[in-house]
Amino acid sequence: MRWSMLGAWIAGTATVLASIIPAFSGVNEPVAIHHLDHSGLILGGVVTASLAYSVSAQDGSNATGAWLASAILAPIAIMLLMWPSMYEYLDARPWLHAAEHVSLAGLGFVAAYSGQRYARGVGVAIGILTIAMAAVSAGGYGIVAP
Amino acid sequence: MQALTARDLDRARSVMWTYVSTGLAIFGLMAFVGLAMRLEQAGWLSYGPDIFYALMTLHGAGMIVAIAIASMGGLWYLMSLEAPLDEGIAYWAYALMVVGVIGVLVSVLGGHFGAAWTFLYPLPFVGTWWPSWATGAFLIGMAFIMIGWTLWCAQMLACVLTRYGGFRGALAWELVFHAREFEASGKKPPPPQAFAALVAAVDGLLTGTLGMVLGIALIVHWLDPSVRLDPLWAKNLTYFFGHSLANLTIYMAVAGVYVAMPRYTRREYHTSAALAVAWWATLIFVATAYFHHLYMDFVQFPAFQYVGEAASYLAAIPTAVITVYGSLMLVYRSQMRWSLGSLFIYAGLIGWIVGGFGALLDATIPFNIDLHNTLWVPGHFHTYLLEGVVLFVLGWVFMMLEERSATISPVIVRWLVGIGIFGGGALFLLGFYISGADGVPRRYATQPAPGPELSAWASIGAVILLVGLTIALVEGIRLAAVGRRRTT
Repeated sequence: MRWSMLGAWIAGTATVLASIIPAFSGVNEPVAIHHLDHSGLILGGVVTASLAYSVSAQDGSNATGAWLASAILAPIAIMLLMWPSMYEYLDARPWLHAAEHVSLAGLGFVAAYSGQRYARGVGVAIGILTIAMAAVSAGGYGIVAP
Repeated sequence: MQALTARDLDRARSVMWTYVSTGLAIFGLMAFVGLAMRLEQAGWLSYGPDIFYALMTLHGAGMIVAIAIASMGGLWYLMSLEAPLDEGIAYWAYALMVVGVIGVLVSVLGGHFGAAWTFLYPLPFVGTWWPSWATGAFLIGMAFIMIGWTLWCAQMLACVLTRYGGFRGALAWELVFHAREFEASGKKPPPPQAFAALVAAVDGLLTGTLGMVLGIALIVHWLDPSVRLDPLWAKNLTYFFGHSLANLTIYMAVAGVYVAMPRYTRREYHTSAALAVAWWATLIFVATAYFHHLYMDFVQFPAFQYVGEAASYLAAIPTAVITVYGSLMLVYRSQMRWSLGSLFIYAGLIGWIVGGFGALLDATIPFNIDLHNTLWVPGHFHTYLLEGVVLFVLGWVFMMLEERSATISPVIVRWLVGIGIFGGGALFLLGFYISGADGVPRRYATQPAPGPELSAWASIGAVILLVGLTIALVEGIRLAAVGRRRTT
């Protein structure tokens, strides 16, 4: 339990740092790579959520529809935050860019943690699918093949 | 396992009937829309291509949602008998899907949106004759349908994971790899219908997720045309979503077969290691067969084409060997009573095999060169949806009605329904197959010969089919009334 808690803190801290630092160091990369960066941040949020859930060790008996609703709405919010034509605007505003990155990781956390609270295993599945959403976006969301 | 109270059972039945009756009602309306399309192609009606493509879009979206909703209701009810399910979530999922259907209706009837239900990029945005708001209404409507579908799938996943002890338990891992220990432990594997729920949930979440990626990308493009999408990427997501959703409707409905067949034959449909492995295979092949829709896309990575062909073939094995052959073995020498319910289910198995065979031919690359995007394609999917999924749903409905009323339909009604649905259905479907084999393209308001002539014959078949369905509806209402009198 202690190791899980420690792991959750480490994963959470690393994810927040990974969210903020690139935004300030400046990002100059294609949209597809930026989508993949985002999937990495979401992965951090999902891992943190899974570890945080195992610390609280819910048995799912108090599962409510509200947990499920937030688990399903969070990935949709992620896709909207990854609006490709906003990237240039955000790149020029480091604080806003950092806030966007933290939001993406946070929403990844919400998706996975809420899913786990609804029923054990569901959050992990939704978390993996949320990472996949961002990764799949790299194939063509705001991108046209040469 | 927690026993259901009478109140819980009533609530579960209410959810089921809400889903099933809505699904069948939309199906009935969309059948008339389909008839109107065939009459236009036959030249017996003349309302013009613009209306035709709008109706085609409505028919496709409406039918797939109708059949999905009806199948979801049946499976939800069966799983609620296994573990308590929150009906509030089921009603939310239902409401979201109904809102989505209203969005699609507004888009098509009000705005004449006509880019087909698959809304393949860039069709919704290029060369349009409908207003931009109609595109938005359609895409937002489909997004609502996907959210409702995802909610339902997540609830199903939670149900199977909590009821059977995580993925290992739900997959019957111990039964397959440690059979002796598993049997000695006295544990019971999940019932067959739970595998249908697991596959629907997992592949459904995958479908909903990737469908949502595409849906949001299209909505963003609609709002901000500067955001371009890669057409091949969009096509992969479109057909992953569309093919898998259509495919899952039958795997959801088959849960009813697993429960109804044993009741009719008074034999058990037990879970074996072979059944478990067959459903594992289905889990994979439902998600990988869609590549066969992209054979003509020469820029697609070639290995995917072979994956598509192999998965299409392999998907047939669990279906034919386990579910269909297993069901036939239940029927063999069981002295099953041929009521409307059992007839529908038995005929549904035949429809599944015939439609599946048509699909396999089309998924074979050398045949696909000739059959791709001809009327053969709607031929095969109309067979397994109309004479497969719909018959499974009707079989389930009639089994419930027959049990409640403690009676079955008279012989004359069974014959009339049979001639209508199977006879009329066969004539209707042959129109597609023969036209497709002769190279008549699909999704065309005006067809080359022999399209119009065969469309005329198909229209006659569709009318006979609708008469049969109407007789079945009247008979269903009669059985429901008898059941109500009997239980009050």
